[in-house]
Amino acid sequence: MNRSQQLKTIAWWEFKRFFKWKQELISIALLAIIFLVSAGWGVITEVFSEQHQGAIFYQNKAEQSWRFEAPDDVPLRAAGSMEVQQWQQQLPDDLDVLVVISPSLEAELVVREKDDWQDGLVKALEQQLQQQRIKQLTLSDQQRQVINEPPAITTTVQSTDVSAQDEDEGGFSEALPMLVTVAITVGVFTGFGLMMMSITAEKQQRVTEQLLTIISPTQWMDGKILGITLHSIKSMVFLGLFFTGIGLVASMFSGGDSSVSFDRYYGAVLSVVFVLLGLVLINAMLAGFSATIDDPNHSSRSSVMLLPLLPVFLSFSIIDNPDGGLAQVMSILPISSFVMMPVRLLQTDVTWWQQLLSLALLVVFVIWMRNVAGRLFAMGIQFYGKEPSWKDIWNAIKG
Amino acid sequence: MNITIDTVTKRYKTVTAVDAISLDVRSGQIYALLGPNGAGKSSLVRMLVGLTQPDSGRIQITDLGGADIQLRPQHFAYLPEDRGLYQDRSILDNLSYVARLRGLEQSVYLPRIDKWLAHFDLTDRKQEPMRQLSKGNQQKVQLISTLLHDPDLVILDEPFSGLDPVNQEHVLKVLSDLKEQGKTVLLSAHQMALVERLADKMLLMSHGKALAQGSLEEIRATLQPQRLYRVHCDAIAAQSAWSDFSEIERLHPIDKNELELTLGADVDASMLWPRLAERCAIESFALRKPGLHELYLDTIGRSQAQGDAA
Repeated sequence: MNRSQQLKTIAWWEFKRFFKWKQELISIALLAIIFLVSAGWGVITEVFSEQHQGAIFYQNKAEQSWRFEAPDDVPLRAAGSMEVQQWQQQLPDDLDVLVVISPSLEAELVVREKDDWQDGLVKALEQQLQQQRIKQLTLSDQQRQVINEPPAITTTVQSTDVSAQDEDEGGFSEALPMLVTVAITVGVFTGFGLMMMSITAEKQQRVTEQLLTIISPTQWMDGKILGITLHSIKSMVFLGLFFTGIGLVASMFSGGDSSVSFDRYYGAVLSVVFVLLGLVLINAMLAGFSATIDDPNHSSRSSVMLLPLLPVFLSFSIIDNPDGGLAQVMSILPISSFVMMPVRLLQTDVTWWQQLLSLALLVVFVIWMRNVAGRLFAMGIQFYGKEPSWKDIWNAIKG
Repeated sequence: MNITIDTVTKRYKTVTAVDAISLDVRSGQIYALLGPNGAGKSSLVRMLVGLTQPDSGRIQITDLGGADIQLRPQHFAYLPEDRGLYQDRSILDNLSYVARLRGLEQSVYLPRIDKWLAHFDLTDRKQEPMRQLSKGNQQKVQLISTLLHDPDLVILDEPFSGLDPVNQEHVLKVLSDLKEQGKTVLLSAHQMALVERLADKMLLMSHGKALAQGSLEEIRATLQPQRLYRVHCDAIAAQSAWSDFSEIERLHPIDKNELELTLGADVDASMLWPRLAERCAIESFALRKPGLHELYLDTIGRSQAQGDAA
C-alpha cells in the first residue's frame, strides 16, 4: 500500500471515528432550538411577563392639562386623594405601585420594595415629565424643535472602495467577517477537542504500539491532521450554512432585502486558502502536543494547548478595524494570519505584498510546524502511564 | 524467515534492559522468551520489530536462502504486551482498519475476517463495539488483527495473558498451525506448561541476561546437569544411614517410602543400584526430569537471590 493510500485510510478513519449521524442531527436540532428561542425571546418574555397593578394621583388636578401614558405592563388606575394618603402609608394587596405627580412635574413612586420591573415605569415618567416641562417653557416652535431633535452628524468617507462607502447596503458583506471569524473559532475548537480526545484515547486504549509497527508516526500524525481538519471544515461549513440560512429566513420574515450583495470573490478564495492552511497549522500543533499528554484530566499540559487559540480570540477585538496597525501585523504573522487575513480580505483592500508575504510565511510555518509536531508526536506517542518531561519535549522540538 | 540476534544490548538511562543477548530462530520454529517481569523480554521484542534501536549488537532477518531482508510491516505480525483496539468501534471496523493499513484489499480481508471470527466463535458479535466484549474476547480480536495479513514472521508478547484455559488452548492450536505452515514464531510467555508443549527452543532471561537457551533438553542440561532420581522402598532408612554414599549430592525424603536423590552428572546410576538395594527393598528407581516450570522457578529464584545479594 502506498503512502497516500495509507494517509487516506487514516484520515477517513479519524473522520469517521467522530462523525455520527445521530449526533450531527441532534446538534442541528439543538442549534435550531437555540435560534428559535433567541429569535422569539421577545415574544416569550412578553407572554410570561408579569402584569403589575398601579394607581396614579395628580396633585392639584394637574391631570386636566396632561395625562401620563403608563407602560403596558403597569396599567395605572386613577386614585382619589383620600386613598392616596392611606396608600402612602400602606399599599393595599391588589396594588404594586402608587405614582404621585406633583404640580412642579415631579413624581413620587411608592412601592413595597425595589424591583427591576419598576425601571420601565421610571424611564417613561422621566421622558413624559421632561416633555411637559419643556412645553411649559415659553419657547417658540423652532426652539422646541431644536431641543427635541438631536444634532445631525454626517460622515464623509474618502475611500475609493465602493463597498466601503455602501455600508448601509451591504448587510451580508458587513456580517461576513464576523461570521468567518466565528466559523474559524468553531473550526479551531473542533480540532482542539477532537485531536486531544483522539490521541489520548489511543494512548489509554493501548492502540499505539501495534499501529506503529504498521505505519510511521509521521504518517499517522499526518492522517490525523487531515481527518480532524476535515471535521473542522465540516463544522465550519455547517455553521456557515446554518447562519446564512437563518439570516435569509429572518430577513424574509422581517420584510428586509434578502439578496446577498458581495463582490470580493478573489478575497473569498484567498481566504479559504488561508483558513485551510491555518487549520492544518493548528491541528499539527495540537497533534504534537496531545501526544505528550497521558491523561487529559490530570495533565497540566492541557491548558498549554489553549495557547494556539489566543490569536483567534484576539482577532475578535480588531475585526472592526481591518486597516489598523495591529490588524495589519496580525494578518502577516503566521500564528494569526489564518484568521486575520481573511477578515481583512473580506472587508478591505490588502496590498499585494502583504498578501504574498503573509501567505509565504504561513506556508513555511505550516511545513516547519508539521515537522516539529511530527518529532513531538513520535516521541510522545510511545509514552504510556507517564508523560515526557519538558526537557524531552524541548529536545524533540529542537530535533 | 530466520532471525539472528547477535550480542544485542539496550540501556535505558541507568538500567541495562537487554545485556548482550544472542539468539537464532529458524524458519518454522516456535521460539519462546521466558523470564520474570522486567527480565528484558519486551525490550528485546520491541527492538526486533523496530520500535526501538539497540545500543549495540545486530539484528538480522534473512529469508530461507539466507539473504538479508529489510523487515517491512507486511512481513511480520506483532502483538504487543501493552495492547488494545478502538473501544468505541466495532470488531469489524477495527479489523478492517488494520487490514487496510496493511494494504489488503476488501475482497481479501473480509473473507479472512469471517474465517477468523468463526474460528474464535465471534461471528455473531462482529458489529458490536469492542468495549462490550470480555477481556478474553478482546484478546482474541487483537490476535486476529495481528494475523490477518498472513505474515511469515509472528512476534507475540504474552499471547496467553488474560485468556482462560479453553481460550489458551485455542491460541495454542493457532500457533501450532502457524508452525505447520512454516511460519516463524517468537513469543514471550509466563505459562510454562503451554510453552513446554509448544516451543522448539527457548531463551530464559533474568535482569536482561541470558541464563540458558536451546531446546528443553538443552536447557535442562544447562540448568540442572545433575540427575534426579526418585526411589521407592518398603521403608526408608534414616537419613544418616546414607551418609557413606559420596555419589549422592543431595538427598530429599518425600515420605516414609519415598525419597529423591540428586546424583552428579558423571555418576553411573546402575553402579549405585546394588548398594542402594542393600539398604532397602527397592520397589522402583526412576530418573525424574524436572519440567520447565520447576526449572524456571529454581533458576529464576537463584538468579533473583544472586541479584538481591549483589
